[in-house]
Amino acid sequence: MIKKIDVGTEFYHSLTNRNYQQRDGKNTGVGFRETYLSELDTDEAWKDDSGFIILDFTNVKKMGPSWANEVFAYFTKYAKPKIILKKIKLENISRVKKSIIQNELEGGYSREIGFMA
Amino acid sequence: MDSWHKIKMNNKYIYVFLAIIFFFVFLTHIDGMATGLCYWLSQKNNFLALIFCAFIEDPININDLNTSISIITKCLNIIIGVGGLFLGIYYFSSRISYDREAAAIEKKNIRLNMILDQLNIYDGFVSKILRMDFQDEIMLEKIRDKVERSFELVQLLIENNDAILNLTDEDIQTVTKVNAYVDKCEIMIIRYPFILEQEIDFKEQKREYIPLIQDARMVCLQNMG
Repeated sequence: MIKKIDVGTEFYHSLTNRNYQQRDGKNTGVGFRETYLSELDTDEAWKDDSGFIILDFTNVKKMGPSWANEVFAYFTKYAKPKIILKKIKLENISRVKKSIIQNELEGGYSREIGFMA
Repeated sequence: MDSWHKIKMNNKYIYVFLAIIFFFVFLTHIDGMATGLCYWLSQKNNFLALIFCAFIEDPININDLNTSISIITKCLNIIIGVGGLFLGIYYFSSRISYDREAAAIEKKNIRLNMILDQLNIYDGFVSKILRMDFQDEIMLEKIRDKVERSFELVQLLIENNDAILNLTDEDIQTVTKVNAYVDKCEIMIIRYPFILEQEIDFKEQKREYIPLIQDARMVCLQNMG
């Protein structure tokens, strides 16, 4: 049974921060990935492209590229964008938010800039 | 154009109205047309002539030139009248479609102009950072906050007017690419003390940013009607 998460309600409605160092450091992409997608952080998880989770964006008001990069583009080290979107299905998402995620998947995972502190 | 929009008429009632007018025009000219048809069919010994004879009110002398001219004139009148009615229907119907299309284009242009204005505002704040036009950390953070807020509005405008704008997925991606770059790059992340310490300038970031904002502006301009 595929898990379904209402991102806006169960996590937060404003998804902008990559990690604790960005802006107010809350509700970060790292936090989301470690809470809901930690099982995907292995090679084993990507051996097949069956769905793992459904993310419902109905109650998400804002999404930023940094958050999307940390949550989605992080997995480009395991699989291609098409496969990532088969494993992590998106529901009730606007075309703008979808294009933000698409941009991040196509651009690849950006490493942290070391001198943020 | 506004008056056309205010008239809310269902096309099928217009056709009924015009059909009634056509029927009365036909009735007033039927005797002339029927006489002509009756004469023509009877010449060909066609039994259908009997049907049209029923419409002839007064006995007439077909050989009388005046009567012939009158019959021809009435037949022509009915043909021109009906033709004119159909032209009128066609014009009215076309005018309504044209006005609807023009209104849709106007709506779309207004929204594209709003997005373009907001992109220009966003560009203004990003350029401030690229030019190092800030004196302290507080000012830098204020500008960064404005950069975020201004692009939020661009996203909201596109999201909430999707049906009117009818942009392609590629167009939306081109617009969001600008902030995809800016949000993750050094201009939004590096702390002020580090900028001073390392004497950082943002020339490389400027080179990468400018084509992206230009492409985003082009999306708006190319989609204007």
